[in-house]
Amino acid sequence: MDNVVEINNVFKSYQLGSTEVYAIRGLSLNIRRGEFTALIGASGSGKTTLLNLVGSLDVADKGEILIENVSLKNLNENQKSFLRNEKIGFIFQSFNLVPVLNVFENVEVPLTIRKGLKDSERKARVLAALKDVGLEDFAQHRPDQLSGGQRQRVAIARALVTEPVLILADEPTANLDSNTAHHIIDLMLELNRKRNTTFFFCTHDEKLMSRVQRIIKIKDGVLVD
Amino acid sequence: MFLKFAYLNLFRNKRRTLSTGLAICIGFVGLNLLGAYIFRVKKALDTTSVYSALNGHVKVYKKDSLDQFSLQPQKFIFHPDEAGKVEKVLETLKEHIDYVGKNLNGTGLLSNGTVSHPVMFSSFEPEVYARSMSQPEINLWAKDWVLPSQFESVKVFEKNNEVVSITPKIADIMSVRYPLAQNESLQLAGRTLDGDLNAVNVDLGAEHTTGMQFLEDTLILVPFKKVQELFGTEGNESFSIYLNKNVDIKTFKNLLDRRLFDAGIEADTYLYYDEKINSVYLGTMGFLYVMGAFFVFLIGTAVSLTIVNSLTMGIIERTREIGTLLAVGFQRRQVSRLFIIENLLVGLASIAVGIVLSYLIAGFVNNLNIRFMPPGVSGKIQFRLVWNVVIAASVGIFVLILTFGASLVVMKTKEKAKLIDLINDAGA
Amino acid sequence: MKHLFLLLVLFSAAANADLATELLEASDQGRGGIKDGIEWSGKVQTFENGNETNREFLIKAKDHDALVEAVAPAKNKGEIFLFNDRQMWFFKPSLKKPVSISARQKLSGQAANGDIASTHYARDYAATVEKTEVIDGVKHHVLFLKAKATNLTYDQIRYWVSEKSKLATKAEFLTLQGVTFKRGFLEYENKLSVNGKVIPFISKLTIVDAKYENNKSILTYSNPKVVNHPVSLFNYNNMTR
Repeated sequence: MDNVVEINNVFKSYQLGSTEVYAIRGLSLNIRRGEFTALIGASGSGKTTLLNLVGSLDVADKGEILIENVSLKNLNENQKSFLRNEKIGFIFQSFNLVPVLNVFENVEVPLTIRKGLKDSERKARVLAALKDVGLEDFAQHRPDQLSGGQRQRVAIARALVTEPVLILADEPTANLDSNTAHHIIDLMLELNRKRNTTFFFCTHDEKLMSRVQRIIKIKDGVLVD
Repeated sequence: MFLKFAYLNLFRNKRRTLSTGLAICIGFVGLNLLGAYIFRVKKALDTTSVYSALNGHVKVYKKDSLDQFSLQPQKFIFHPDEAGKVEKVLETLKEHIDYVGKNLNGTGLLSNGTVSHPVMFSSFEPEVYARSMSQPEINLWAKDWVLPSQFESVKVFEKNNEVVSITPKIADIMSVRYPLAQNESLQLAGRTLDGDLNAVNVDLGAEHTTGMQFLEDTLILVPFKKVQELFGTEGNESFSIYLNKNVDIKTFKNLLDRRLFDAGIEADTYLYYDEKINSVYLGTMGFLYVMGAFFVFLIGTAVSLTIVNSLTMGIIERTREIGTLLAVGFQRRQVSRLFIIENLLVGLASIAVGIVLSYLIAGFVNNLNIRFMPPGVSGKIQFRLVWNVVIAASVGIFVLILTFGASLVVMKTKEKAKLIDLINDAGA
Repeated sequence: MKHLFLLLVLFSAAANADLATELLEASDQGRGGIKDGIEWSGKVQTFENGNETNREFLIKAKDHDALVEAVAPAKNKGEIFLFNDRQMWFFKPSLKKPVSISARQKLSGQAANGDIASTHYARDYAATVEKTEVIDGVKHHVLFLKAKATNLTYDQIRYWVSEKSKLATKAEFLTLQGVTFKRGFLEYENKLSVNGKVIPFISKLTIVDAKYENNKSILTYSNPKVVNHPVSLFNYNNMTR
C-alpha cells in the first residue's frame, strides 16, 4: 500500500500574546491509501492543527508534508487551491454549508470550478454523491430545512463529489447526537469501503473508536503510543 | 453557477441589498437627470450660438480683426475683392457647407426723433436669417430662447429690407407702439469706417430676444445692407459658415485654415463656442461642467461608500463561507469575482430601475412646465430635462465602473486574510 | 476776531467765484458766446494715426443756439448739426427725422461735436480760480471748471485765461476722475465788430491727444461776422424741411 499522506518532522507554533505556543512538535506520520484513521486527543492537543496542515489550510513552520508524493512546501496559493479541489475533501464540525444554496447546489460547489467537466457529468456526479449519502430525495431542500445529521451528510457528499484521494474531517460528529454520530461514522466507513477513499479525521468521542481501523493519539503536539 | 450563486446571495440580506440598490439607483437617477439638464442647456446654447445668433459653426475674420476692427475698421474689414477671395476658398469646400452669411456689426444710436438710445447692432441677411430660423434644431432645443414672432420676422424681412429687429426692452425704452410696423421710421446713427457721423432710416416691424439680460436693452438686428450703408462700406467684417449635418466642425476648421493659408489670405477662424467670439457659451458651460463635476464627485462618493460599507458588512457576515469556498478549492480571485458579480448584479438591477425612474421623473418634471430665470438670462425658460439614451448609457457605465471599483478595492483588502482564520471564524 | 476771520474767508471765496465767472463770461465772447447772431466758417483738420482728413463747416449761432452745416467734403455736404441750448441734433437730407446726439461724441479726430459751435462755459460750468501763472510774460488766471450738467462736452476743464485780454489761451480737458485726456491751445487773430466795438475773435483751436501728441485736430475759424439770424433757423422742426 502506498502513502497518501507523509508527514515528516513537522513543527507548528502559534503566537499567543507574547508567548509562543507549540501546537505540533516534530511530528512524523504516514497515512496509507484507503486507511480509515482517527486522530484522537484532548482538546488543545494539536489535532485540528495537524489536520489543517495536512489539508494545506495552514502552513508548517518546519518539516514537510506530502500529499501523494507532492510536497506542500513547493506549492503556491493557487496550486494549493487546485490540490485541495482535486485531491482533498473537507468535512467540518459545523458543516459549513452555504445557506442560500440547496442541497444539490451545495454539493455541486467544488465542481463548479473544475475545468473541462461537462454539465451532464457534473450533475451525474452530484446525484451519485447524494445517493451515496442517502439524500437523493432532498436535493432541492435548503440547509435550514434539514436536521443536523442530514446537513453533515450533505457536507460528506460535498467532500466526496470531487472523488478525492483523502477526506479530512474535523470533529464531524461533535455537533450531533450520539445516534446520528454513529450513523455518520457508519456512512464514512461504508464510503471508505465502497470507494476506497482515505479518511483522516479527528474526534474526541471515545465511543466511536471501536469502529475505526487505525487510531493515532496525539498529546501536546506529539504522537503517543 | 457563479451567476446563480451571486444572484441567490442577493436574497441573503434583502434589506442590505435593497439599501445598496437604492443608493446606486438614486445615484444613477441623480447623475442621469443632471446629465439630462446639462445636455439640454448645451444643446440650447449650441443652437442659439450657431443659428439664432447667426454665428454659423465657423466664423472667419481678417487676421487680428477681433482686437483691431473697432480701432482700424478700414484695415480689418474684408473689402469686396478680399471677400471674393474668401468666397472662392469656401467654394472649394462646398460639399461640407450648407450656407454662408456675411456680417458687419457695430455700435451706434437708435433714435426716434426725440430720444436716442445706444445700441449694438448685429447684421443679418434676410435669406440667411430665413434659413437659420427654419433649422429644426431651433424648434427642438431653443424654443424658449426665441420669440414666436422671430419665425414670422422671416417674412417681414423678406418683404421690407429696411426693417430692423428690436427687443421688447428696447421697444419699452423707445416707447414704440405695438404692432411695431405702424410706427414711423427710426434713425440709426453710427460712425462710418472713416470716422464720420452718419445716420440711416430704418423701419420697425420685427422683434427678437437675445436670451441674455445684459444684451436685452442693447442688441438690435439690422439688415446687412443697411449696416453697410451706415458704415459707408461695401465690405464685411466676418463670414458665418453654416455646415451640413454630420460634418466634424474641428476638422472643417483645420481644413479651412489650410485652404485660406494656401490662398494667401490672412484670416482668423473661430468655432462658434470659441471664448473669443462667444464668452457666454464658455462661461455658462464652464459653470455647468464645474457644477456637474461637483455633483458627480458627491454622488460618486456616496455610492462608492455605500457599496464599500455593504460589501464589507457582507464579507464579515460570510467570512466562514469564504473560508469554506477556499477550502474546497476556490482561488481567492474566484471568491472576489463572486462578490463583485453580486454587486454588479445589484448595480445592473438598480440602473434598470433608475432608467425607468429617471425617464418618468423627466417626463413628470417636463409636464409640470417649471419655469425659472437663470442668472444673466432674460425671461424665464422652462426647466427641461431631456432624457437621452447616450447620457443614460454613459452614466450607467460610470455607475457600474464605480460599483466594480469599490467592490474590487474591498475584495483586494480582504484577500489578505489567512485561510485558517476565515474557516475558524465564529461570526457566521 | 474769529467771526471776522470766517467772514473774510467767505468773502474771499465769493470774490474768487465772481472773478472766475467774470473771466469765463469774457472769454466766452471770444469763442462766439455772444447774445447777437453771429456766423463764421470753420475748418477741421485732423491728423490721426498718420492720416489727414479735412472737413469744412459754416457755423451760425445766436445766443445759446447754433446751426452747423457741413460744406466739404462733398459727401458730407448737407449734413446739419443743430444745438438747441444743450440739446444736439444731427440731420442729413436722406433722413426722415433728425437724430438726437451727444455733444461729447467725436466729431472728427480729437474734436468733439460740442467743440465746433460757440462756447458757453460761463453758463455750463462752475468755475473757481486755482492759481495764477505767467505764460510768455502774460499773467494768466488758471480756472478750474466743473460741469453743471451731465450732457456737456466735458466733465472738467482747466482753463488758462489771460488777465489782460480776458481770453482763454490754453485748456486741459479732464475726465471725471481728473485725468487729462486732451489739451487745447487757442489763438485770436480774428476781429469781430459787435455793436460798434471791435473784439478779438478766435482764429485757431488746436486739440491734442494727451497721450499721443501726433493725434490732433486743428479747428480754424474765419470770416466771423455778426448776422441777425431769424430764430426759426434754430427750430428743430425746420430741420427736415
